[in-house]
Amino acid sequence: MGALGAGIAALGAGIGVGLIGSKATESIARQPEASGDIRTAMIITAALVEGAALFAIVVGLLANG
Amino acid sequence: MYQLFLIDFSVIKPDPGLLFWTSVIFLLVWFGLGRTAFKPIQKALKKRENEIQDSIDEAKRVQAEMAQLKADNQQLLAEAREEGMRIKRDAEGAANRIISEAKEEAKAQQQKIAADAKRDIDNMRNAAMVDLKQQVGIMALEIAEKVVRKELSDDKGQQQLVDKLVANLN
Amino acid sequence: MRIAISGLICLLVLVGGLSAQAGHDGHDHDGHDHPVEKDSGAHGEEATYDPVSTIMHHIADANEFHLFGEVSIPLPVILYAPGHGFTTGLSSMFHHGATAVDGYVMNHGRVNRIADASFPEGHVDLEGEGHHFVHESEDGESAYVMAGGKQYMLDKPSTLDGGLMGGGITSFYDFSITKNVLTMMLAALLLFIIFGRVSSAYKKRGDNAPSGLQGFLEPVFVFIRDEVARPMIGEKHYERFLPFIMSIFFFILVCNLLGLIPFFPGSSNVTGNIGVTMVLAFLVFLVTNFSGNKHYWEHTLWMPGVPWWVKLFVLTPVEVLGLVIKPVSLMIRLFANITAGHIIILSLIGLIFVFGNNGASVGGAATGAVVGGLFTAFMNLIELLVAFLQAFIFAMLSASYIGAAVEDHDHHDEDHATDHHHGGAYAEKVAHH
Repeated sequence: MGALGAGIAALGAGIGVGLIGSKATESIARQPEASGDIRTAMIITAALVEGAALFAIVVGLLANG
Repeated sequence: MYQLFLIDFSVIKPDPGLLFWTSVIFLLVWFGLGRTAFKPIQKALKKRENEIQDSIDEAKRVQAEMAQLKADNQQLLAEAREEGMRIKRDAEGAANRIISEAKEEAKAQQQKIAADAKRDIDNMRNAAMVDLKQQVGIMALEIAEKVVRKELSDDKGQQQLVDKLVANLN
Repeated sequence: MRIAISGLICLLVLVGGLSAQAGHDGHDHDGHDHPVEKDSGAHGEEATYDPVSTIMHHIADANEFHLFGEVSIPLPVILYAPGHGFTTGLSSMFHHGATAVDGYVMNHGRVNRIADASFPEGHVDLEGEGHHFVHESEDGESAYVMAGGKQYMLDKPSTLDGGLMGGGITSFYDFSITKNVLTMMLAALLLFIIFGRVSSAYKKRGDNAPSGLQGFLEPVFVFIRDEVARPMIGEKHYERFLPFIMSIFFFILVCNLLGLIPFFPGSSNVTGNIGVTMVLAFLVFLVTNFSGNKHYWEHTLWMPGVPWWVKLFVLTPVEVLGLVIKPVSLMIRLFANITAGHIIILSLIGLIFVFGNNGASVGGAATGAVVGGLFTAFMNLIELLVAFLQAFIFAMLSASYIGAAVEDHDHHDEDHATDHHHGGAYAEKVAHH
């Protein structure tokens, strides 16, 4: 069950990171002069989303015993 | 839960020893490095940034000063040129005035000199005339004497001489 | 991660000619049914490869620093049990588990205590074959050692989770200089050496342009100051918290990077241990709440401009919970990221053994080595990024929590004003384009 939960969490995080990447790329294309700020914001948000997925993975590991 | 003792997920269990040592080491890093490194570095960086800012400000100030100076110079130059022109004009006027005055004076002087000279000449001529007249008188007397003496020796000759003298006198 | 060590283990396992084992996937779930040997493979002659146990063993803290094969660096052991006093020594006194000292025994690199008070003091040889002196009971819920033909139950490991995470209430405390503690000390030492040199360079060179190590670290320092501390905490207060933010960032960064080195000075999973991240997050919690001003507490405990019943039943509980959740999320994020990275790399290395069927299939092992090696190289690059990123995120979020605590009330307008200004600048830029 733990592995299943971790997989679902990875799914969610994958969608999240994908959205962040797509929007960031769009924004950079629209406003190349702001690419530095956008990249920083993108990395931070991606790390936060990844963190959420990792919470789930930890919980999955715990549930595994 | 066979893994409980042998292969558990031990990283998720906080070990009091690890908590203790982490606290000790991190506090050491925080206070030690903060005091010896981070604060001095921040101070040095700030000082340098301020200095850079100061020098930029200084450069700007100097530039503005230079521009101001240049403008001032321009104005001074213009004023000086005007002053020069004015002085030149004045000088020219003065020169003209002096020259005309000098001319007039010279003319007056000349006239005076000329008048004086004329007067002198007149005086001298008059004197000379008087002198001449005296001399002529004397000469006439001498001639008359000579003529008289000669005529006294020869009547005809005497007559001729008197005639001649008289003719000469006229 | 521990590629080199794992590689050596791989060699030993392959030479050992171990029996094939099927159904590895099932191991995570139903370990009870398989009489799996719980050792990491390096120590066992007949051990079959169990990826989960190997990985758990490698990411765990240990009382000795395993170099390769049978060679370990002994580390100081400082144990305390109420009513029993301190026990000190080097971890080599346990002979990798074969000897119990004063009622303590080494179990998979960690020291455990024998719960039975009747166990004799001093050095006692334990009964067991090979390298396995700790046996588990039938139900798998407890473990025991054999000495003089008698069974002695082991106490739970030294943890503070109160049984929540499976650690249990225990009777002793382990203040040893473990592998993680040694690595942290090394990290601190490195930081002191590096920043000592950089700081003296500033003193020596004065206002000249930076050079060497100073020139290398100055952009990092300035980046953290100008991108993390200054915007998050605010121009007025940031200098007060700069040492803390810098210490957090550089300490985590160096620990992360040391964890990426697969051999001796590194290889320990420091920031992937919840104890370490717990202390860091707790310090952030303390710094945040001790520097919180009146405005912060007012907004946390009794938000102005909201009906009292909303405050009492919704906002205040949520805000108070948030006080705790923020540092807890910091703690879990760093721990989970680093541990996950280590687990992934160890799993990829483990592919060699899984594909190789514990030495039965040399071709499979070779395939595993190629695939696992390539993916490990790739993952290591990602982990390098994560090492920087997580240190940055931790520092950034700490700074933002502190910033929220020290923010002045009238500061809001200023921020908005600058936002507007930026917006205006952007609009202008766009208009120009």
